[in-house]
Amino acid sequence: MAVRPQTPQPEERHYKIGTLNKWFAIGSIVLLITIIAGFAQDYGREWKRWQREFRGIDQRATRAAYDQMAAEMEGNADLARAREQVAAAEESLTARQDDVAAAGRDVDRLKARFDIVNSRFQNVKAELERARYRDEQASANVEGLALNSERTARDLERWESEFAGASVAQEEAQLALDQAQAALTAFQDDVRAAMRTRDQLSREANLLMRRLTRMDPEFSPIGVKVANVIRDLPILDLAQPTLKVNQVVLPDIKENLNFAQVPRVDRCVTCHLGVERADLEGVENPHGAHPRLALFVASDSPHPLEEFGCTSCHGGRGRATDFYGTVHVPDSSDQEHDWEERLGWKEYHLWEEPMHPLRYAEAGCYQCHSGQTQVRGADKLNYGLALIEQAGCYSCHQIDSFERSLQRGPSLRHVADKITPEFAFQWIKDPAAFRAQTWMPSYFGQSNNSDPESAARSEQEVRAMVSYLFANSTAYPMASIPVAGNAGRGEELVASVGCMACHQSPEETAGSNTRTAASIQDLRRQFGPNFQGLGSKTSAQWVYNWLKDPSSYHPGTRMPSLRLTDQEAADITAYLMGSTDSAFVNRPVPGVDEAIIDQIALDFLSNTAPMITAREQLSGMSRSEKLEYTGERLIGQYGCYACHDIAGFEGTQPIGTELTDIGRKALHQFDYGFVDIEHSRTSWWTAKLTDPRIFDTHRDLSSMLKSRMPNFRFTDLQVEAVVTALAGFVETDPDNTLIVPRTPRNLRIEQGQHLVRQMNCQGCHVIEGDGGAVVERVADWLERFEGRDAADAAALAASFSPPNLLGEGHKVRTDWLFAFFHEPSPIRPWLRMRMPSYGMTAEERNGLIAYFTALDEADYPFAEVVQPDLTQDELNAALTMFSPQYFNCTTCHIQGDQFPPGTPDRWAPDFALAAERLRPEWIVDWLADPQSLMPGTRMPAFYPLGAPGILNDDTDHQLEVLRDYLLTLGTP
Amino acid sequence: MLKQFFNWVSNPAILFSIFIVGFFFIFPPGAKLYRLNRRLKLDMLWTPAGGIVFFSLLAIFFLWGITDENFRLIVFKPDNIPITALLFLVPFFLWYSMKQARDNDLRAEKGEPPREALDNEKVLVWPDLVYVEFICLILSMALMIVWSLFLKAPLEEPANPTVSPNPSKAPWYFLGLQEMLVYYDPWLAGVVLPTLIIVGLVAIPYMDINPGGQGFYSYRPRMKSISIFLFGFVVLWIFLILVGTFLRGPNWNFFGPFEFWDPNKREVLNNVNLSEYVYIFLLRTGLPKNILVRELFGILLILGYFAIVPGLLAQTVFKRLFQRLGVVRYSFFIVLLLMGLALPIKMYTRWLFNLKYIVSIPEYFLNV
Repeated sequence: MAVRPQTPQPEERHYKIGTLNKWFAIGSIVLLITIIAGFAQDYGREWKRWQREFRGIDQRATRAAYDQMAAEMEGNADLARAREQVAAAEESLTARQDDVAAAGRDVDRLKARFDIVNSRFQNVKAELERARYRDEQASANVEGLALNSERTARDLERWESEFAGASVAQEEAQLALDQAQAALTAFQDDVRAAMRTRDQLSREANLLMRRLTRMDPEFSPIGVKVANVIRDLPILDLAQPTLKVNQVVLPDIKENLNFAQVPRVDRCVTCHLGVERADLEGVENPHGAHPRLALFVASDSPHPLEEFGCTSCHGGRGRATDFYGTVHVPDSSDQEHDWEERLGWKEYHLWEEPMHPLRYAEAGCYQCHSGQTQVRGADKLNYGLALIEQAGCYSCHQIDSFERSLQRGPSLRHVADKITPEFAFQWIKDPAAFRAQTWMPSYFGQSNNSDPESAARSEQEVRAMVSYLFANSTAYPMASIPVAGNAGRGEELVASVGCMACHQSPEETAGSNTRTAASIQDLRRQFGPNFQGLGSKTSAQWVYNWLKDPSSYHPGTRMPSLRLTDQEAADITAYLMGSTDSAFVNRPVPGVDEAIIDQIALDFLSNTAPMITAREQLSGMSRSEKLEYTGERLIGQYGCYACHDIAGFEGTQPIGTELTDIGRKALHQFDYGFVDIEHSRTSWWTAKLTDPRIFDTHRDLSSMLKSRMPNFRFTDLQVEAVVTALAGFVETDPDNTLIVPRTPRNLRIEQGQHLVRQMNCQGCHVIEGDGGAVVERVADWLERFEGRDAADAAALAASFSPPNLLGEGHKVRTDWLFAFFHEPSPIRPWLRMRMPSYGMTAEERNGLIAYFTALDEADYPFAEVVQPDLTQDELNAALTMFSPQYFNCTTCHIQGDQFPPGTPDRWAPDFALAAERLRPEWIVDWLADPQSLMPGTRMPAFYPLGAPGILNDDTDHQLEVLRDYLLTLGTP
Repeated sequence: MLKQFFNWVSNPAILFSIFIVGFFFIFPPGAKLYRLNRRLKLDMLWTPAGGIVFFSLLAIFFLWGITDENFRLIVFKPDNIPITALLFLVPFFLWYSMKQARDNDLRAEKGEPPREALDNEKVLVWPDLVYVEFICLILSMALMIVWSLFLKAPLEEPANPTVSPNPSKAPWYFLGLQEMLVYYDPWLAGVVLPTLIIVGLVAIPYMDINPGGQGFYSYRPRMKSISIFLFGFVVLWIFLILVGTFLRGPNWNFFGPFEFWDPNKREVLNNVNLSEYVYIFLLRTGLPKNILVRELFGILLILGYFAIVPGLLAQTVFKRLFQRLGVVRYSFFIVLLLMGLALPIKMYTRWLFNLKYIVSIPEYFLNV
């Protein structure tokens, strides 16, 4: 028997049990409160708030849609009729209620009978199966069974006959039941049909209503309301909550976590619930739709949410479900304050791919579209890419996607024959003082080299570089100008032959002291240098020779030849030499300060040798040797050779940091020095591009160690565009399956776009819907030299401008285009503008042809040939259709040497060129429907009406005959 | 101004010196210092009033400190919360035990038995002990839940093998060891010394044969033992953890508590080996080729430290201890003690003379 322990006496205790009880009670309550607090925190997640808010928005939007639908249905006569029909049918059904009831009873009775018969049938069927099996066993003499084969055969026979009877009975019962049922439903046929019609007409409204009953308390029955509450209760919400985390899993787009590549999981749609809903466009974040649904997110867009997610373009941490952890990045300090106040935003340091601030959002495009020269729809990114091309960033900084771009500046191999050393000095020292728009960046007079000591050193540095350049300049044989030029005629030529597609006239640039380009279109007109002060820069003879044959001075130049006659070249020269800037060239040039030159030379010499040796080397140099030595080293130090072709620097590596993957460069690798700015990549680039030397502020650096990046004098807008592009420069992930597919067609297009950019084709032509920068200048020419008024000039400018190249690949024959690129011949003789001779290589010409044909998905490289084969009747028919009686083609089109009546702005290309230039299938397509091939063309649409009464009104035949006839016109 | 002063005081040499000197005044290891301690009334620290004053000062410093952004940043970093707690908890428990020790010492002076002797040593398991434990369990759980609700797990960015965080810090309980790595070769600081710490802790019961003060809190009867142990625990372990947490910043540079952790801070740290001091600066000859000749002075110094110093101490400071312990116990004790003292010695030689290694034989990866 167990001994009951003695209860200790109260005085033997260390503690009062009452106090302990109190503490226990307090502790338990505290624990309970903390557990409740834990639940509360867990169930009060931020995203639930947004989902609740969204529910209200969704309800309102759905109600509005329903109301609108209901109002529409009110006025729908078909629906009203259908409803009436339903009512009528139901009424007539009620009238025959007794019959219906009788039919119903019939069905019930027959159903009961069928069940009995059918059950017997099933039994007999099973018995038959067994009997057959046993009989088979018996006939096979299966061991150990000892079956009597006679008895099994008898059994089988019996069940076979039973089965035959049962199956007939079953079929009969089934038939009777079916008939009775058909009789019963026949009563309801009318009602059903009427209802079907009614429901068809109100289907969409019904769907909306069904949605409303599921979520809108005003419409939902009490059961649904209660269920909706219960579904979201703690713990119970594991089943099917109304508030839940939504996610898109993207197995093909990996997230790089250094050790592992994991599929991207984007939970952004947990809060951005309305992102796909077109009816919520314009609703405030996070509930609204994506602003560009046609391009993104929507399932029928090129970038559907299910395939691309959100963070693959926008950046940020897709797996997080709160505002802070998803690494939203504010677009401005205003937004930052707003977010801090409303959403408790703070900077998140621990994710290397924060979201792109909205204004740099287009950076995301370039991750996958890096092969393209421009990405359609991403205007800011395109502008940034064009600026990088224009400023030649890729010359010093390697960027893989700009690998094929050309050297940006002119060759300096014959510089002594182009400019004077004095001009070179002033130009290098401060190019912006001569031309504010020039793309030559400023190295001197910057924030880290403007103190008096540095300024003095800078001047000597420039002197040394000039010395080197002129000492190494080789002779450039120039022809003398054979005829006297006329500046007036020159001005008109410059305005009309096409110079203005790439250059700006002195009148345009005079007076501006900042960059003016605000769009990619503006940049096209700054492709070449402007002409301001040209007369003070170089000699008339040089300009003349340059105009006649640019590549003889600079073989790598992008300046094409316009096949100018001697007179034309002389006229243009006379005009261009008229712009001078004597104040600039007459600025004083300081003398050589040997002490400073010695110091610079010593700085370089001691870089590679001990100071003592360096001093010895220096003392052995003459003055000019010192100048040339320091000049050469300085050109190397500043990287001039990256943009300019300079003797002695062949094959030298550029000096800048590689930018191919700069968009992912780790934040800790950026040196912010003592500059107090936000620590993000974009703000670092913005500061650097605005003042390239800014991070030297407060630093005590020797001249050799100072920042060297020159100042391109970008405007804020331009900086923003360049930063957008930089943020997009990331090394392409080879596993990313969503990259623009590397199909032959895409590769041809990308290569072509690059050539188009290199030759500035879009300065004149509209290609891929963009370009034609020169048109405004054509209007200017019409106004100034052709005497048109402003409105007239603007309207006619397109007619006097180079053609839109939409559909070029489909239109012209590849062999013709190849020859045309080599030696352009006029197609539209009324145009003053000339297609220049670029001196393209065969590879480049083929590249462009491949590009145009790829754009139109036309046959490449060879195309169908049609041999015109016309009977006499067909020829007569063609001539009739050509005549004024029908199409009257020659009122606009030139035919050989016959020009149409009227002014040139109404003229159209020569028929004689058709056979060799045009693709036969294009001629047919063009005649059939010109507007679809070239919207806005003046070519009249004669079809599908065609020519009545010709060739039995067979329009297909008519088109074929016209095509064949056209193809005969050119052949002699 | 005051902040600058604290930043200056936080210079390791100064702060460490203050700690060492202060330590022996507060925890006197010998009779003379003990009398001084009593005369200066430093033992009042262990009274409730002294405790209130001390912890108030500590709290005031802390509260004032967190008005500074840099201080706040480092003290409230979720990783550092346990160490901020340590800053208060270790002194508190130290104070609590020392308060009891002081009470008992005073009772002993009056000839009274220690307070613990008044208890009948009976432990009431049920309900007292179990109930109290249960209440503690509940309250600790509530504390842990509240902590987790307010401070999220300090997760960082995805690990990147090519990028080391700067500063790279060990878990807080290893920061004392990491601090040792600054002064010793890794195999010493990372292998030998930690092993000796464990060996030393294991050896305590075999070396401490003093029967005085057993079974109750006291200071006076065992002041040498307590002082030596607390020196190792508080100064060489807890203090180094605090330094490693709060004062070591990027590039393992020292930063004052109110200083911005600038990763570009530059310090003069040209460390010189003993052999270089001797041959290059003193004798003005080059380093000898023979390794043994080169490191002769260092080797002699170390041999002397472990061979001669114990003997000297046995004849002077530890004369009575030596007699009490006997040769074997004394040898173990003194080697462990000298090993422990080697750390502050090395720290001072580094701070004062930029001494890198006493013996440096990188040819065989042997540096002391």
